[in-house]
Amino acid sequence: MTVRVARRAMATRFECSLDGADEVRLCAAGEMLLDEVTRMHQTLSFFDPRSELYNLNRNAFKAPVQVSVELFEALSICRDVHEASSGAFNPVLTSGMQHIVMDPGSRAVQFEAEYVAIDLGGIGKGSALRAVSQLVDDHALLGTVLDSGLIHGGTSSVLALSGPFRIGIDNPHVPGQLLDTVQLTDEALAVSSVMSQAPYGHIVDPASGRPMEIDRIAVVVSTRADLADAWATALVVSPHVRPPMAHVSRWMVFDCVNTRDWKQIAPGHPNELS
Amino acid sequence: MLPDTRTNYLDRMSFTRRHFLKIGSLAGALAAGERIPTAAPWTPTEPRHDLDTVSCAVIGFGDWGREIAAALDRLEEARLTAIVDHFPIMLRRAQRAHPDAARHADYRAVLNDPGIQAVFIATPTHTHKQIVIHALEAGKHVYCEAPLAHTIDDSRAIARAARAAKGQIFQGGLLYRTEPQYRSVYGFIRSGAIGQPAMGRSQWHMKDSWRRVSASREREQELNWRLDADLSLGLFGEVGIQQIDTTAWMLGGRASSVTGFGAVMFWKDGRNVADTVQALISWPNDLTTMYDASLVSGFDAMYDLLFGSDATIILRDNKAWMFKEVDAPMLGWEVYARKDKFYKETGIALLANATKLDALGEDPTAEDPNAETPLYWALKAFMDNYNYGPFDPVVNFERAHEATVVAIKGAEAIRRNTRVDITDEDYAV
Repeated sequence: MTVRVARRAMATRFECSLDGADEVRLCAAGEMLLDEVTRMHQTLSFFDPRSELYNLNRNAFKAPVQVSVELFEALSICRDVHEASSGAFNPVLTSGMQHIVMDPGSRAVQFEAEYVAIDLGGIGKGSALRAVSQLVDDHALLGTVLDSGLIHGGTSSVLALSGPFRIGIDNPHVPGQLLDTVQLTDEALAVSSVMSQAPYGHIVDPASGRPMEIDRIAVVVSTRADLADAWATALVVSPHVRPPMAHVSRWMVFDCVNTRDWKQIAPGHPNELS
Repeated sequence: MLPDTRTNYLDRMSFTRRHFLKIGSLAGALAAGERIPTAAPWTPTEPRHDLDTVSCAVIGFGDWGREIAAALDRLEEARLTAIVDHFPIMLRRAQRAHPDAARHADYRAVLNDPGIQAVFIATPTHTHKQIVIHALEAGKHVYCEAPLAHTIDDSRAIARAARAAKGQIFQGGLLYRTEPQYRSVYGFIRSGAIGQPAMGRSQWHMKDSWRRVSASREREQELNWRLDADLSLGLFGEVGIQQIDTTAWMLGGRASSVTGFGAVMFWKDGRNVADTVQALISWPNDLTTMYDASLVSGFDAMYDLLFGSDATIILRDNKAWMFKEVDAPMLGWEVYARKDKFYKETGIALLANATKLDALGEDPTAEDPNAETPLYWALKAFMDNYNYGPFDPVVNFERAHEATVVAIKGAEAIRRNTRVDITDEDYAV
């Protein structure tokens, strides 16, 4: 049987769709996983004044701030993807990551310039799903409580527990039509997109500092949900950057060529995701 | 022979100038109910001084133990030295979240460690007694989660052990008596701002099954102690104790009876602990307050309402508002106070330090970026007691025991769908 449990976090809806034999235990497992999502929201939220990230942004220019293991790991992923994408992925508002000093020994983070702030919107959902996958592993839930499951955040970040699952990538201009389908087994998928018709793009091109004004979709598959999320954001900005194989197993970028058709502009690895 | 921790604590009680000044400012802050000034909790700007850093161990790394550990990490005065849990998976989680803290499966390891001064006990309620008593015997300062125990006898045993442990801090895990916003509201109420108290209402709503899972069925049964009527005090006891204690504190007096109702309305999974409860609590001077809690509906989450002849005060999250009666006397400061509309009512925002915030040009009702959780303030009070005390904790063994008695009696009332009286003998330590 399949049990669905949902909760709002990170300004979107997270849902667990879990398969197994015991409905009661599946529901409890779903709540446990969503508790982890909530906890990550409380760590990574840019907007919530009670979050750890908010406190970091507020105080790290004044003095080094010691952060939790999870926040430090998220920042480390950001730094790694930022470097590997030549800056296409940039979580820092108003500047690059060169003003962020991180000490792995003490987990202290300091901003060397004023008016620097970090927004983890490009990796937040993926980080939450990464924490969920760690919880599933820690508690050995797969194969005991769960047979398989899909957890998604806002339908753009997906974690597959076991599988295979076939995930459809929507054509945003033609309701009901799919650009492609992706098969996932114990992997994460992230989709990032920009649409020129949107009143305000949510992805800013670090090179120009302006919202991107193009119709583009990037699809990334990785064993880690946080890396998938970060690279999907990076590839929307720079579609021809090649993610390291250690980060990403497959990816594809589509550009809209007219009002409804899409063309793949960046190779996957191999040339398709399915 | 006294363990080193107790001797060191007593030796530290000789006055220094810095000690005197800090006691003065702290006592003043507490008396005035002002928000105790604090630097942003995550900004250690200089190395911690060993003399003022309390070496701490958390016993029990479940949901609440993890919250305590995270809060201790944020406190400059605390050093999270060790984490105890007898379940290997929790120790693995502890290693990932707090890699610098030692990990133990047996709590005796931290009790035998003279380098650890304080222990924070967050194991299931019915397991507190043995650990608390052993910790006090080992000379540790103890923070014990509320309710203290699931039986009055066990709670009394804990309270007696705490009473006998002279020179050691014992603080119960009641959270709101040390929370700055609540302390500020306490001042309003005790000064008569609401007039004659007429009634109160508190609720706690969250849609959640309360059930836990594990790959191990045996471990799963242990994890689900809250769903076992023989071990659990249910929603009223495990959760409601916090808000019932707030009512007792704000209005003064001890509850004389609880009339309870409860049933499994939705989570029909074989549990025998109600997922929805309602209770009427009787207080001195014919005052009755209401409490309801549900795991079925999350509507409106948690709040406390105190109704009076001149005004009603609501406390929710870390904010409070006063809604005045039309014929209530004018309070001089309210002309300048921030007011917020709630449907047809207008609430005067009550904020600790509101005047100061206004003078700084900050919006008193905006989300406070330095806001901390009630748990943080409770643990800070513990640390302040260690460093600047000793003084009788705001939540001492007597208050913690009294709150536990009400929790136990209320849980009984709800199980039996009846009224249960609470006597002075029940409250006696």
